[in-house]
Amino acid sequence: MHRSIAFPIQHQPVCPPARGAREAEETGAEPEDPTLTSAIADREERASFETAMLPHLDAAYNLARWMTRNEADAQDVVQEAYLRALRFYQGFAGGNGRGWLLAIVRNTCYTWMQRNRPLEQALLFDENAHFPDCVRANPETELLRRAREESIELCIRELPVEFREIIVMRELEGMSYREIAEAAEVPMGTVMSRLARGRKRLERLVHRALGKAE
Amino acid sequence: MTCDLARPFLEAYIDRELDAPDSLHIEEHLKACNSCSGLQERIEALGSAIRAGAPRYRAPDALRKRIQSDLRSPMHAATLGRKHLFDWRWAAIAASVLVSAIAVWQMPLRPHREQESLIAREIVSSHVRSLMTNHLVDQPSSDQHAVKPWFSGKLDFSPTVKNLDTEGFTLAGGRLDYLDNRPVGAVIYRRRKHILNLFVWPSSQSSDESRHSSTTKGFNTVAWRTDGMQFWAISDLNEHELDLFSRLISQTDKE
Repeated sequence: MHRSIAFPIQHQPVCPPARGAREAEETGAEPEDPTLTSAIADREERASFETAMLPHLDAAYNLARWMTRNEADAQDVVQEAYLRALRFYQGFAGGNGRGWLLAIVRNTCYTWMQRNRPLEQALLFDENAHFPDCVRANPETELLRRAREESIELCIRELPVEFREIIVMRELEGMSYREIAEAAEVPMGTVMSRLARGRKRLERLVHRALGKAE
Repeated sequence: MTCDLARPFLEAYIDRELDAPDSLHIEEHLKACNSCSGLQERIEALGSAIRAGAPRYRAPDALRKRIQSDLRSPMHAATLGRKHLFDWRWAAIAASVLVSAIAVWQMPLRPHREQESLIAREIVSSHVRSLMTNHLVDQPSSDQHAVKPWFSGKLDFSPTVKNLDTEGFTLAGGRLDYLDNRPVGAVIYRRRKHILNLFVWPSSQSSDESRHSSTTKGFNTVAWRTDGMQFWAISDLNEHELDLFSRLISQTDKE
């Protein structure tokens, strides 16, 4: 039974209109030297952006690297994402910022993939139909332990990107469900179900890889 | 608690996303249920396999520096950022589609233009190459009496080399190039920051042809034929100045 699920591609992160711009419109106040004032404001904003967002560069790069599976592409995507993020920075509500930034990185990745690798946007199928959830006893745990240094990386690379991104955010970045939900712009329930399905699927891939190796 | 109730929360329990009372309920169930605790072990083993075996990639230093300089450059981030990865590619695709469309449209109508547009393309490539590869001049000199003799012995003709300093075109030197299936002379001039390549070679056609301008890939070109010699001037200069240049060259040439 194939059940196709539309792939959630969001081209732009949610970005409310710039706070500053809105206020300026409402008050209509003219600063004395608009060029100078805006230059200072601009510099302050950039400094604030750098302080808030640059610490998440590794997280941004790691996600992009896993999503694009390519070093050069990941670098391009992250560079672009930071420029986008700066433009939308006034819409940033504060807080840790990692989820907010990763949402932009993720969207930039999808836009990039849509343009460069349209084939990867293939329909998903319900993996439960293909990998029935039979609970087995624990030789598998042993297998997984052995998989550690061998093939886990390759198996993650094989995961469809919407599972891969969630697994990477959860297991490698240690992000909370809430943070992942913010970054992936989906409800927490979706995070939970994708994580569960992704893990199940990854486990199958690991078994398959080990089976072949033997 | 039954398996059906516990399962949906098992992963959240493992990921420490449940509050204390819910965690307790799951823990109790896990103690009692082999099937669920087996699943728990597998999920945990998978998690540690991932963390142990899959790299958390670190951003290269070069990327960090690039982003920092992006963020600190006043123009780049705010206004040009959007174009950085996106628009130019589409623009390039659109441009190439347009160019092909024009090419397809023009070809049957103007077959005699084909040869010339082929040369125009070569001219543009040669001009761009001369700017890109640090191979603008073989013989750098602002003295036409040094550049002109340099060509003799390398070419079977003598290209026009003029001193147009007073008109604002400074001779920069000479270069050998290859166009239209033959070696040609390239004389390089500068005007302000702009580089101008003047290609000269003996034409296969003897009839003169008056100057005609065109624009290819953002470069302006002027081509003409005098006394059996073919001239192509190319630059990113505006067309008026390039036209002035071509008039000066063909004018002084006749004197």
